[in-house]
This record gives sequence, structure tokens and C-alpha cells, in this order.
Amino acid sequence: MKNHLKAIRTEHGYSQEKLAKLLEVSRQTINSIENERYAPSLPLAFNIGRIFNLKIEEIFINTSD
Amino acid sequence: MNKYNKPKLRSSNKLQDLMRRVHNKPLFTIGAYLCFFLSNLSAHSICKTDKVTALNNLTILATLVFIHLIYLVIRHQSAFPQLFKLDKKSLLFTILYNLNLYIVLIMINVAAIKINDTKLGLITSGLLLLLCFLSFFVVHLINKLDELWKKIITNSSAFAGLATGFSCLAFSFLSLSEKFTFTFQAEWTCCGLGFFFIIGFIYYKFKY
Repeated sequence: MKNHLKAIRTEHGYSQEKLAKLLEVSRQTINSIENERYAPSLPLAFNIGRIFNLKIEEIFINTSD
Repeated sequence: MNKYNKPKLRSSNKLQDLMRRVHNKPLFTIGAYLCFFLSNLSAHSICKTDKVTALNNLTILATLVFIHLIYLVIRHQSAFPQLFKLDKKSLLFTILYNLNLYIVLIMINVAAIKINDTKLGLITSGLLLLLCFLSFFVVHLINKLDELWKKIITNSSAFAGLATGFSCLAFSFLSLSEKFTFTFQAEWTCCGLGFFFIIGFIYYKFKY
């Protein structure tokens, strides 16, 4: 799944480690999401949106359309 | 407020709140283990016609099941405020789902008593249930992991399980062992499982 997580994260000045700590996941999870190797679960996607104050569809792009 | 965003109703029942706060899993795992041993002992006693011991064990087993049942009824969401107008089906399913272990135990032991074979009750059901407990416990631990690791380990485990299963099938039905100079040993499945798990783990670690 395509996403803008890396751009959004750097824009907010967060490191992968810090974001992982905020989301209570491992740094590898953030790295895999950013590299589009792993699609996060719905709760995690919501949490990411909540941290950056954005909607899910503003961060993640549904490529199946 | 968005109609899909309504807060979950919470009961003001103090007993219910207390039950929610108490982390019940270790308690009931111990309870279930106790039941497991007691029911096996009961089967053993009945098979040996020691009816007094059997009755005592079965009474304790029934008490434990009853306590668990009461706990479930209390803990069941909004069961008390609207017990009579709702959702008895859901409550019944919750109870059946939570008590399935006891039901299986009792059924196995009844079968053991019927055919008067203590081995079935003591060894077969004991070993199988112990392995089931162990497997559930491992799955429970995996579920507590971080999302990505959970996926990696779940996929690796599935891969290892399938590959080991297929290996066993291949050796059993295709007579592969006859083509080699060795005979297939049951203990090797354990090593096979570990070996396939490592392969799966490496693959899925790189994939994600």
C-alpha cells in the first residue's frame, strides 16, 4: 500500500524511533510501512492519523482502485 | 456526535467493574489445569471402581465449572441490567465458547469411562490437551507481539507447520524412507519444525 508516511514524519520532525515509541510498535514496523512492504492494521493506521492529525486517506493511498 | 461514534455503554455495577479489572487469565488457566487433572483422576477412579474418590473429584470439577459459569454471567456485557430482554443467545454462545475446554474434557473422560480404558483418559486426552494448552499459550504470546513481528512469526509458524506436515505425509504415504537407507523417526519432526521455522523466518523477515 502506497503512503506518504515518510514525508509526513520528516515534516513533523519525528524520527522512526520516536514515532514507533508513540505508536507502541517496533521501529522495523515503521520502516516496513514507509518502504511499502507492510500494510498496517486499521487500529495502527488510525493511530498514525491521530498523531499527525490527518485522515487515513491523507496518509495512505488505496492502490486497488 | 457521529452515530457510529457512540461511546460503549458501561455498567455502574461495582461487581462487574471489579471483575473487569481483575486479570482473570492466569487464574482460569490454573483452574483449567486443575480441572484437567481432576477429570482425569475421576476417569481413573471410576475405571478402578473407586466411586467415592471419583465423586469427590467430580464435585470439585463441577464446582469449578459453576464458579467459571457465574463469573461469565457477571462479566458478560450488560447481562445484568437487561438480562431478561436480551441477548440470551449471545450469552449462551459466550458461555459455550468459554466452557468448551471443560466440555471437551468431560466428553473425553466420559468416553474413557464408557470403554473402561484409563489410557484414553489419562494419556491420550492428557497429552493432547496439554499440547493444546501449550499451543494456545504460544499463540497468546505471539498475539502480544508488535504487529510486524506478529505477522512474521505467524507466517513462519504456518510455513513450518505446513512444511513439516507435508514432509510427514511424504515420508508416510509416498514411502520416501524406503528410497533412502534410513527410516523416518518421529522425533525428527521436531527438528524439521525448527528447521522450517528458521527458513520461513528468514524469508518473511526479508519480505516485510
